[in-house]
Amino acid sequence: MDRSVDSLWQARSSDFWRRSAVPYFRYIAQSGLPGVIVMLLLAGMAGYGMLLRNMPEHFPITLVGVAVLTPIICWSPLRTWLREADIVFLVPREAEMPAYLRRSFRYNGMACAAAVLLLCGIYIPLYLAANGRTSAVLIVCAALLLKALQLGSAWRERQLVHAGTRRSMRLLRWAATAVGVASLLHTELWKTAIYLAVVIGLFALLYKRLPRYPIPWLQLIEEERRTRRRYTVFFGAFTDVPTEAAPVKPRRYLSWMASRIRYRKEHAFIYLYAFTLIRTELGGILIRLTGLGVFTGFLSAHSGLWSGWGAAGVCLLFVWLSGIQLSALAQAHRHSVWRHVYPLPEQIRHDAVLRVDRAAALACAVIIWLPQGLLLPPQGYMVQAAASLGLSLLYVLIVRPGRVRRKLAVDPDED
Amino acid sequence: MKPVLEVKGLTGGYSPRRPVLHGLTFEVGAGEMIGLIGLNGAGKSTAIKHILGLMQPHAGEIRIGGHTLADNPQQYRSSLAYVPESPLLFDELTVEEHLALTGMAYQIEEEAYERRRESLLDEFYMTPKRGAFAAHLSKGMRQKVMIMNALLAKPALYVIDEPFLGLDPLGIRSLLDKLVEVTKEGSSVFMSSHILSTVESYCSRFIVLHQGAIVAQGSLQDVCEAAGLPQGSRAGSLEEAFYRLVAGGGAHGPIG
Repeated sequence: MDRSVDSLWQARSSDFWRRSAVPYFRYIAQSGLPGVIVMLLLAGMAGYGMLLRNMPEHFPITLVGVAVLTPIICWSPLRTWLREADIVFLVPREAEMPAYLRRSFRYNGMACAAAVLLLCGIYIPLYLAANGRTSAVLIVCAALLLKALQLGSAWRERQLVHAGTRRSMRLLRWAATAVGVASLLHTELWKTAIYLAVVIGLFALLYKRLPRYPIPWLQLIEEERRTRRRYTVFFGAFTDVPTEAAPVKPRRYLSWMASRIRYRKEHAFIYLYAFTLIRTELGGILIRLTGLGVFTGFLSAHSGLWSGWGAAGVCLLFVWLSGIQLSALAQAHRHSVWRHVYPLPEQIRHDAVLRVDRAAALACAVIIWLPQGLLLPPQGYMVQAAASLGLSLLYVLIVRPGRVRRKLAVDPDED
Repeated sequence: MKPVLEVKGLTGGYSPRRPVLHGLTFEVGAGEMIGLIGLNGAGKSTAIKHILGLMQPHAGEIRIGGHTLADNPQQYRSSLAYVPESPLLFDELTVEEHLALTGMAYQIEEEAYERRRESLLDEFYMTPKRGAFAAHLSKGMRQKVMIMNALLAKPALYVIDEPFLGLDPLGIRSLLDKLVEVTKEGSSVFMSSHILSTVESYCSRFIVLHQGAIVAQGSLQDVCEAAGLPQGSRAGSLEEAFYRLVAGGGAHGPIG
């Protein structure tokens, strides 16, 4: 049997895709999400084509470039497939780990480079249409070079001993990269080159001076756990996925609402599910999705996409997507022993899930709709604004509760 | 007087074809502390799961306060609190929020809840950790949270599975003091543990489980007799009796 770390990496990687990802693709396909994505792509392409043909004179092309390219260049995830048990089984083989980690770098490096190329492919035509000064080839090469530097820099960050330093360095790296991208798009090349050389030198000095681990085991295990958890939550929206311990965030800016739930027997599960929603990864995904919905809704409503109907469609799409994600709440605590031990009828739990789910879906829908409500009527698209609100409410208040109820009715513990 | 917990002819397990428990019959009276002892795999946790209603018996009956789970689930469940072997906490709740959840679930009046919460946090030295999440607590602290939740509910019966695992000496002392206190107030404790010296000092009766069957039960004297230990000898400790009962063939062979 081949026991090299190289083959271990290979086995773990294919095991993840074979067992924890691919089996769920069928459920995603059944949910109708691919159709929506195709529609969204078509709509996006139409809007993109329109923008390309009629590029406004003062289009903030550098700002858009920084907003589009910085995150994809800076974000450098690393799949290591490491688990808690590796503290016992792999730590003794630390000397062999560079070979193992090289595979991870290659795996993520390729995917990240592909993502950078894709976004360059989308952005550069706009940049050229807006008479950008830097050549396309140069932008692509510089973006790839920056990406390679980020992969190395992100690894150094992971190695840092102190969490606070790690966070500060990440912030610094993102800020420095954003300035670098802006400089690449907006000024002469030699200025950008000097800037990058200075920044790279400074970062190298900083990394050299800060205390670090040769292999940051705990950090890598935690990162891997978070990534797995994200997959689980995502797939959990489509079907029942075996769950792992959820990472929680206090999210005090929202959890005060759950703390104010009145102390009553009937509210016990509402109390629990409200905190579950707010503090787990599900809440994080929902917040990001709502934010993205507001942002996209703002852009489409501001430009009055397809006489306002496009904007209304974008709003409905995000309300629907947030609803899909939210349905993972019904899966939470299904296998908890306390569900059976607490002297509370099962119906109270079902009602609690429904109430928390409805309140959250309504809040997301209203927030996602806000840009439509504020920006469409002044352009004379009153009907479109009202229609997007009406259909969102119909979905949240009439269609969703029935679905959640059906989901709850399937009890995994009763056989 | 009616026993708090009555188990009659309980046969059960995960598969009907291969029962783990074989015809268990015992009672726990009000104010009693009973120790359930047995080797790993003897069926202690399975017996506890049946009492909690997490598993259905293949045969036999379990009553708490005179009710079976089927005839009055609310009454049955509100009469018992459970402390599992490994702490089962909600990751998204803080220590204090766990207590609030238990308070609501067991319908404890808000004022009484607040009073008990403060005194429990204080007694288990957890006041500085009241706002901490489960992930930020040590294993012993998580176990303390479980115990505090059970004590907050003040039920008629405490079902406690291996309560001393991971607890520091102060935690063990606080727990034992509290258990003595609740039994004095009339509650019963049904506790499984491997720490025989503690079980011997604190429990009034014992149930020795071996390979899914009760091989001895009763007071220390009853258990020693079942093990064939001479009365009044220095060897008449629970540990010695237990060793004789389970090492000598247990339910399937003669003792002593």
